[in-house]
Amino acid sequence: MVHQNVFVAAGYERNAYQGFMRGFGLERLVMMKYKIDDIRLFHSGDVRLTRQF
Amino acid sequence: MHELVDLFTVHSFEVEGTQDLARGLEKVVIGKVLTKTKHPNADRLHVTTVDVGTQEPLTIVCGAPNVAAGQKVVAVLAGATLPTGVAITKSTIRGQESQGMICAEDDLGIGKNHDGIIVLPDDAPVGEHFAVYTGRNDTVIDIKILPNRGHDCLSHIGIAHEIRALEGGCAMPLDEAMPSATAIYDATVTTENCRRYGAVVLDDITNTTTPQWMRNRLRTCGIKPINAVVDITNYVMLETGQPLHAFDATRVRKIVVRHAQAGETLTLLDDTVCTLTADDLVITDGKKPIALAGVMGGKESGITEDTTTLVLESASFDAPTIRAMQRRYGLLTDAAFRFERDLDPNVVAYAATRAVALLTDICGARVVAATDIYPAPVSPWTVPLALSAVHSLLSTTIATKDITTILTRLGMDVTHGKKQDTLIVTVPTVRRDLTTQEDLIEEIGRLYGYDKITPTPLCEAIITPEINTLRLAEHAAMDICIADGFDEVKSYAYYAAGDADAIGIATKDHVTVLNPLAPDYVLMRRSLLPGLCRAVKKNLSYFSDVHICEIGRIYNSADAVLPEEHLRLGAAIASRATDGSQFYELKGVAEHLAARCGMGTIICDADIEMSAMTVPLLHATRRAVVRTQAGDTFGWIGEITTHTKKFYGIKTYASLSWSFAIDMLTIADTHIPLFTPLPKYPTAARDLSMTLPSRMQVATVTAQIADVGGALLRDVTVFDVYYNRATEERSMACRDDVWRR
Repeated sequence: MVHQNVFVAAGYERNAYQGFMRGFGLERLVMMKYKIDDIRLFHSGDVRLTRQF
Repeated sequence: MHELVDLFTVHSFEVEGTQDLARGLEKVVIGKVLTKTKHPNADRLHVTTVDVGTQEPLTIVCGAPNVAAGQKVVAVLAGATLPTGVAITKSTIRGQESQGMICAEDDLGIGKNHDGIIVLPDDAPVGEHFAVYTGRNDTVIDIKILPNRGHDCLSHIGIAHEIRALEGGCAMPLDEAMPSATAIYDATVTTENCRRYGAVVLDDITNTTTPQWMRNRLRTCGIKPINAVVDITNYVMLETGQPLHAFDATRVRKIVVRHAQAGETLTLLDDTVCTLTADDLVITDGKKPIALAGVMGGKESGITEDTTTLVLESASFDAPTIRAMQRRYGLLTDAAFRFERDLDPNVVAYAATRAVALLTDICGARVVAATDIYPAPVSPWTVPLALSAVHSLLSTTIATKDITTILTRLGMDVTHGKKQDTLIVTVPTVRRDLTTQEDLIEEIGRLYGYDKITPTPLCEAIITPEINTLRLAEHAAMDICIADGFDEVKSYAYYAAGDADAIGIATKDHVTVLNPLAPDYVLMRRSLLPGLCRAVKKNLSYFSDVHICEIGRIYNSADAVLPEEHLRLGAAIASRATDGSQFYELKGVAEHLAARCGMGTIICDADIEMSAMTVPLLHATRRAVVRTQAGDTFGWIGEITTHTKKFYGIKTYASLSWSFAIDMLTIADTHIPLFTPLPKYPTAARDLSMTLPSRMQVATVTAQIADVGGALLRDVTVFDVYYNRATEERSMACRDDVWRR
């Protein structure tokens, strides 16, 4: 649930809007889909990873 | 158990796991060794008879050196599968039947010791389950408490409140008065960062061993039992969430809470010596610091097994101050972890009362003096709650009585406001997170159950978002690089001072990270080159040629609050080719990219002065600035220096890199090439071959040809360049295609 302070900080009038936010990390989804077991591989620069896709 | 875990997951917190402590211990019981004889066929084995409470004693072959008749031991009955996964069966060991096993710590997975079997105290009851005897007939629920609830839920009472709210039940009032005494202990607070300071002096302490039940519970929660006083303070902290500390009263006659003077030193319980700063909050004995407030006690004033009189501290400190101290000294203690989550100062009294009660029961303590400095007491606050807002934010209608029930279960007082639509909610002080109407609505939403809210389609008009041209350019550029044989990498946005030096950009020209993820990685990158070099080095272990590229942001320090961020496409080639083809290859990709993105011909200008602020250190002559024909600088291309290569351990003959500004590619979106009518006559091709003066660039010649050729000239293709090492003469050959009309 979005705090009214967030709306105010973004330049909206207080109580003019209401809303929900959500977010998730893409890495975890990719790991589940492709059965990648180590999250650090994504930033390792090892092209033996990328060449598999 | 499953119901409770589900309730938590749906309404409160994520349950990270549950652990049945008795699992695998179903057939592990306490036994008494009746007899011990040497094994007839093995030197190191013994044959024992063990009474496990059954009619007939068991015969067990045991290899432990410390087994002896009369001992109370831990026996495993045949048919058991231990927590370590080992199955115990009736077996014959060297011709002697064994009906079970006598355990060492590691057999049960409760320790690493395998020097000998566990010997229990003489009063251990024969036949009782080991799990029951050691308090392991219990289940641990590991709950992930997010920072917004750390102030009340990092405690068993906090979790009990939560369970009460989930299951429905009556409120559990907490005693809110400090323990009283006729004498007042001499304590002074000179800073607002100590919000409350409670101290109780207790005498006649016998600092014995803590009762088994408390030791079991502490161990279950991952805390090692030490002695009664320490165990009780830890136990009360786990129970109430309020950290406590005990000083030896013979060494601490009075207490002054103040900010440290810069340069003062303090030796902590773990022997760390801190040199304090003026931002640190300390407990002093009026002269010198005796504890780092809310973080860790001092060694000198700490209690020992011989302590008979102590000062029990139950206090509340400013969260950001504790957080800063914890970070400064790297001491993330259980106390600091809680204080930095902004505790309710009202819990101080309850925790002190509870600890005093336990100290009285267990250690025979007697209260002799007390004090409570609490200049600005926190009282429950009220939050008006508009029912229309509840319905609007949760997009569902919840009956007012249900709303009232939910809030009451959470320990709040609810009355009707003057306006018909409004409730006035009084929030208990432990719920420091509930200050606005939205906070209350969130509580209502989660207890009502978000799963009960029926999803409905959006009923607003949906406006197509503006096309993110930068993102399109990013994807297009990466596709081109991959089509040209490059592999994509992603490196971190930070690097170390060594990286900055390796690419010749001064450390001071970087934005530094105050709170780095890894201690060395304190600089925000100004170039993709270090990340590319690291990836090159890594991949050269597996491939002889490496072609990699990366899209990422660089961060230039600016006078403004935030750094300037630029999106860059970087690429690097490292290969063994000795003919300089890496340069043409990279330039080719750059041209491909420019052509596809509508930037027209690009110019690699080697004569330009390269500013150290905009590019990393490159080879003195084998480098160029890349410009568009309009003269806009677009990036750079060049050979990596031996200095850089040495730092990253790259040993190939040539390693080149380039970096381009992605945002300049966004013009691709607006660039629509127009058709030129095809020529009526065959194309006239003319080959030109010429000798060039030294340092004259081929690009200069082709540009001149293009200029002279005008609209008629369609294309100039260089198809040969010759360099005579002996005479240092260069010659080039190109083909001009002319359309005739």
